[in-house]
Amino acid sequence: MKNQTYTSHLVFLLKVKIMVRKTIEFNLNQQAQSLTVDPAMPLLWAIRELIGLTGTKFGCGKGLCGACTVHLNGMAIRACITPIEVVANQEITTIEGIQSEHPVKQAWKEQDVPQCGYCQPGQIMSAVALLKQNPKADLNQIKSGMAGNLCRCGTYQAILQAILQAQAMQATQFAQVKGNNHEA
Amino acid sequence: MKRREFLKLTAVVSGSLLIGVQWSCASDNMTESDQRLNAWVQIQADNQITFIIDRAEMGQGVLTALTMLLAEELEIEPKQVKTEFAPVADVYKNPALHSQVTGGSTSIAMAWQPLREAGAKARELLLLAAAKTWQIEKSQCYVKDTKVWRKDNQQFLTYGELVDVARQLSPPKKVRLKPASQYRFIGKAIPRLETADKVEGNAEFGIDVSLPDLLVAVVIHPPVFGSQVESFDASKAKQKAGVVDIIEIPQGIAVVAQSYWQAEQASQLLEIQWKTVDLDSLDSTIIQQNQAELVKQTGRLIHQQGQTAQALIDKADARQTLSVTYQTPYLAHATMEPINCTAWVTEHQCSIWVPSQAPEWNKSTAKEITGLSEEQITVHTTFLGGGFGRRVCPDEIAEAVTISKRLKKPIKVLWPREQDIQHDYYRPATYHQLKASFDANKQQVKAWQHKFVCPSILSWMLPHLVQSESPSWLPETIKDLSGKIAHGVFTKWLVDDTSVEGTNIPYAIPNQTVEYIYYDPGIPVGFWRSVGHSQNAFVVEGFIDEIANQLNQDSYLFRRKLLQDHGQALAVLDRVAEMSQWHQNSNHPSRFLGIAQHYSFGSYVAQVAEVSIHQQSIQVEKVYCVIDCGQVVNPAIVKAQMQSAIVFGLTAALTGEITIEQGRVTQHHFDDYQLLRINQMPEVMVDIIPSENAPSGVGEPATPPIAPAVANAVYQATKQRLRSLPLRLT
Repeated sequence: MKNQTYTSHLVFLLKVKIMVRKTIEFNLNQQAQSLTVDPAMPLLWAIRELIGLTGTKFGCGKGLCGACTVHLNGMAIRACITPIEVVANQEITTIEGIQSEHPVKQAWKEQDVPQCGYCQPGQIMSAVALLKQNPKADLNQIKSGMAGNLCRCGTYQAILQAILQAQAMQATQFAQVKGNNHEA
Repeated sequence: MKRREFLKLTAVVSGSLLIGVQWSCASDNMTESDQRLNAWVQIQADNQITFIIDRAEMGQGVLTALTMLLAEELEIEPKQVKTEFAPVADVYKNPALHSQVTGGSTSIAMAWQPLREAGAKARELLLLAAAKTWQIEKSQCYVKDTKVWRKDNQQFLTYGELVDVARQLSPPKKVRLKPASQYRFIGKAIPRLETADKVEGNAEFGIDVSLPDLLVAVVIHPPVFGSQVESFDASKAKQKAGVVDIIEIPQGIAVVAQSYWQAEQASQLLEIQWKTVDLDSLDSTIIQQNQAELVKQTGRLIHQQGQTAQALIDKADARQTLSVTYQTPYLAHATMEPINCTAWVTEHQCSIWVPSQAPEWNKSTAKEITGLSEEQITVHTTFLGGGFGRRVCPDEIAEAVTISKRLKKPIKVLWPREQDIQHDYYRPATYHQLKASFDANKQQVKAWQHKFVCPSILSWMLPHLVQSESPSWLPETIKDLSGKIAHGVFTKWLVDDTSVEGTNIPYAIPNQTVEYIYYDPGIPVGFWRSVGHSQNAFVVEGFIDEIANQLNQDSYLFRRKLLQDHGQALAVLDRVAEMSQWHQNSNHPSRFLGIAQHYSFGSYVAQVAEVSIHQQSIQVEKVYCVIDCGQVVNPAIVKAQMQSAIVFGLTAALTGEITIEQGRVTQHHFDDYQLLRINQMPEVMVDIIPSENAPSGVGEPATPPIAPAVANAVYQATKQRLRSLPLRLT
């Protein structure tokens, strides 16, 4: 009797799946998140499947296409190859966390950039980070900064137009803010 | 609110397809007075107007363009309209394809008349309803801003307020459509309706579909085409956290887990023995050897004009002939949204959510697997993250339905990128032999002979077609059999137009022969943006350029001379030469021009590529593109499609290649199947020829000319004639 229980315990223990779980806390679009997950899980799947924000897209799983681009403390990263433990206590921003009025989103709408639209959240996230780091990026710098984001529909020309427009809008906003400060 | 069925249409749109259609309401929130006016327009009592979009939105802009057609006649701003993707119904069959399929660049051409008529009939019905309500003549009323107004006292009734009266009335049999001079929307660059949703990340693609307790499945397919599972050991994979089940299905082994990542990780631990098959020993080099042998045979005659070209060429002095071979490789579609489908099969229902170009084929696939009736199966079409012809094939639908049926749970099948690159329906690999002969003075080309080896796409697609097109009372075994017979028909007797399209050249060469040799090595082939035109234009536009060079004639002027009877082709050619400043730029020291023109999907396109060479690498700097596609519904969308089709064709021209080793695809991913990136993007300039003709194709016709235009420019730069794709300098 006792042996039997013992055996079934052993069987049970063997059947338990080897699983490491860890609680990871981070900020997503300025909201606190706490997930108890396998720390190796890519951030992409935590965002899409556990939190349910689907604007960030899966394209390749190897950091080759940029569809999953999000911001880690304002820097563009590929969420599909970023283990969630890396972002513990950090600030993550997704397409849903960029304001509609942001010059990049505005320019994207005015240039009517998307075709199928699938890669566009990743494109926008790369563009926002690029212009933040280098507001005066020239055309070649923009092209190399955006070269990690694939678009199979070929919206590249419209993307370049939108980034140039966003750049101009940001410069105007900056000049206005500066002007206002001056007056004050 | 309760669901109701509308047993009769209150307005019937032209064409017998609509008659007898029964409608069920899509929404639970409909009130009693909500009515569908016809198959494409639904007006609710609260004046919410919904258009049903019966084609897949995969980037080509149909959502906006189809809405514009309806809105033009119904007098409503396109942006005020709510849109929904259509369910599967006979009324939504694409008349050009006899099936509810988006493809062949047919959406606007086919919708042009019926959608405007539908809008106009709805408008006339509302006018009649208002006249009846007010007891005045219809001529005393007019429509504006979704209201019907009285001319005498400026009173109005909204469309929604008129629905109850309108449904009692018979729609007019004939309506007068607006003349072009009165268009408010057609011909204007109306912003795309879904742009904001796509920019904000809110547009729902198939991959985004969510259901309670949804499980995700990764299917591992046999690496060698046609193979099957011999045996498998899932014990290690099952140990992985989150794994729910691992089952064998006809398509391979399905790993079902709580999340995609868990399923994908576990799938790598599977130990699968695959059955040996004939294709195990197939390599690309063997395919090419076979093609090179077969092309020597006499093929099926596709086109003959004047005397048999072969005889003339054989008789000619060797100095007066040209004989070359061209090759094109297999190509994958690589849509940005990986292949996916969500299915939920219960005892009496099957619901499918899928980014598909062929919802009707999906339904027949589900019917076959579940044994449910058509009424019990619902197909929800989402936005498509790219289509390009890949998303007509129902493999992933079959997988999701099969797994959901077995596990009795909602299942999302999601293919890893590697599975997509390795298990596509590829653009066929083809082999071409071209010969020409000239007169003794090398002034004129006398004979053109084109023989080519190519599989049949339709033979791979027919089983799906037969399933959905056969009458429902036909037993499945008979359908299966007729699918197989149809396959044989194409391989033995008929010529598949998708193989030969684009080989019947417009050039005035007195003696022409085109022959086709069927050869299918067993690699699945499918519709790839512009289909047969994509490889055939490369070949014929490359060879005509070679002939021009042989005769020491300018590539543009030579084509021009031979296109005198083709006014529209000539017009796009002349315009693109003008745009690119062909003559002025022909002697540039480091930028080289190449030209090509091609007619496909009812439209004429000419392109000039401006190329520079840096350390043996081809850089396409600029592309000039001119299209004549009849009347233009939305010029901004047409221009975007030109850019899109050029980028798609440039990937094929510069890098695209799928090769076979031991029966399996060599390439895996975006690192060895490279797509054009933004730093390789040329500046594209587009012009549209004004026209009063009915609209023709837009989504595909700009793909065929780009590869030959680039190859022809590379020849100008290097004097190397590149006759196989992708273009590689040696």
